[in-house]
Amino acid sequence: MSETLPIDVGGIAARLQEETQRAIQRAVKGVGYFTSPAPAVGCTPKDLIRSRGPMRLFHYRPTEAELYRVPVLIVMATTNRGYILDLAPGQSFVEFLVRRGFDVFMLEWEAPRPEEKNLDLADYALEFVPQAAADVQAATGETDLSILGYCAGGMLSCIYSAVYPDRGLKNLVVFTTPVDFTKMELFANWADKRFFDVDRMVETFGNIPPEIIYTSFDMLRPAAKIAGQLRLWDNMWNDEFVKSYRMFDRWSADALALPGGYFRQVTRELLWENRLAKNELVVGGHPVDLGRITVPFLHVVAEHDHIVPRGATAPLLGLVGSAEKEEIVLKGGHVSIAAGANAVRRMWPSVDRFLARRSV
Amino acid sequence: MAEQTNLDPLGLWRDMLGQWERGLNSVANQAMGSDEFSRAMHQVTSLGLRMQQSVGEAMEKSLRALNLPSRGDLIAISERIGRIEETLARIESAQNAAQPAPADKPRPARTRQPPAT
Repeated sequence: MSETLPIDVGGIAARLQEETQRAIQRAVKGVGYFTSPAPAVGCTPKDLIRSRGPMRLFHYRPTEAELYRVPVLIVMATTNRGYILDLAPGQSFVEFLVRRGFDVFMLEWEAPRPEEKNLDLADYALEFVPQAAADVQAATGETDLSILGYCAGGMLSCIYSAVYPDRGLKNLVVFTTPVDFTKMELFANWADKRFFDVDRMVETFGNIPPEIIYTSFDMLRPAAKIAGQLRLWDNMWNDEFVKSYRMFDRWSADALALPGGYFRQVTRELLWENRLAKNELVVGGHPVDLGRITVPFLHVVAEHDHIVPRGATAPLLGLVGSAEKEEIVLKGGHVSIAAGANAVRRMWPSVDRFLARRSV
Repeated sequence: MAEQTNLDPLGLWRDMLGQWERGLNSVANQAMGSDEFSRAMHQVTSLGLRMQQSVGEAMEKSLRALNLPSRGDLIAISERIGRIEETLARIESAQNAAQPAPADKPRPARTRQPPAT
């Protein structure tokens, strides 16, 4: 019986050679990284069908000869751009839905103008979302529609659906939608009413600048930026990694300003008083009782979501009054469940299965 | 037979990076979840806001003295332009609705059925 060396010398030599090649590629591609333009995002062909204040409603051009009867309206989060759901061909949730035969619309947001600083939850949930829903119904000739909301877009969709349950809503799908704001512990602590003068901030800024929104998200994982830069350097030889890094990095830094009125209301009524979870929220004079949502309901949440932790999303399923309701907990974080590899493998097919049989 | 060890310093470095990131995030989150952090953060923010307010007021007075439009005046103009744009969009939308749909591009049929499971 022969004894072998405890250390695999051949393996180390091969590894060393591989790392040397990568080091050379890092140097060459690193130069290209700083001189090349950012990868294009949001490439699925679309038409703008409504622009009103900060709302933009897009219709994605169908590619299939036969569509499901019920169109899908995606409602994007108010703090970020919609292209996270349409990053690049093959990495686009929108493209996936279009190719699966859905007629897809997206309601996304622009930064509010200075004179729009008083827009609040009622404007977003009970003016812009209903306007978009009515536009989708007019454009398709269908009275039914499915709504699919992401993060705060999910919250707006739930408020709309609870206040107007009789406006043709057929299915409601939400991703990582917060409802119990006491469980968003860091945000709640930073907005502690003993120390945080929200009125002064709103009066000074009018609209809350995107830098504050972006920094507050960044502060949740303070080491992530540096670790991300080191991983980028480590993977500079890998074109796919670099492209993906640039797209996600661009998106996370591309935060939107929030209207002061909206920010004040979210701080006071949700972060301070947790009214949505208590079914005590009143928006535009309408009580928001989530029990009035009775359509088939799907909530997709992320197990390792650091922005909207699991505790903040968990009560939603119990509060919604639908007989057919389902929650899917996926591995991944706030963004990766919508646009990462896990999304492609698990989240997108789950949504497709849920909607397809309910969209005829 | 003795087992061979794959010595991979860069692999170790990557593991350490992951551990460092998790550790630092955890420590920072604990610190940022404290009352002291919140109080200190808002003291700094409040100071910044007060300064910004004072500078804004002084600037507005100076612009008025020089007979130049202030930020508020420009916002008021922007608001009026915004309203005009919205009115134009409504007129455009109404005009488009009044025109017959182009006949050359048929709409896809809305008759798709889910695949059999």
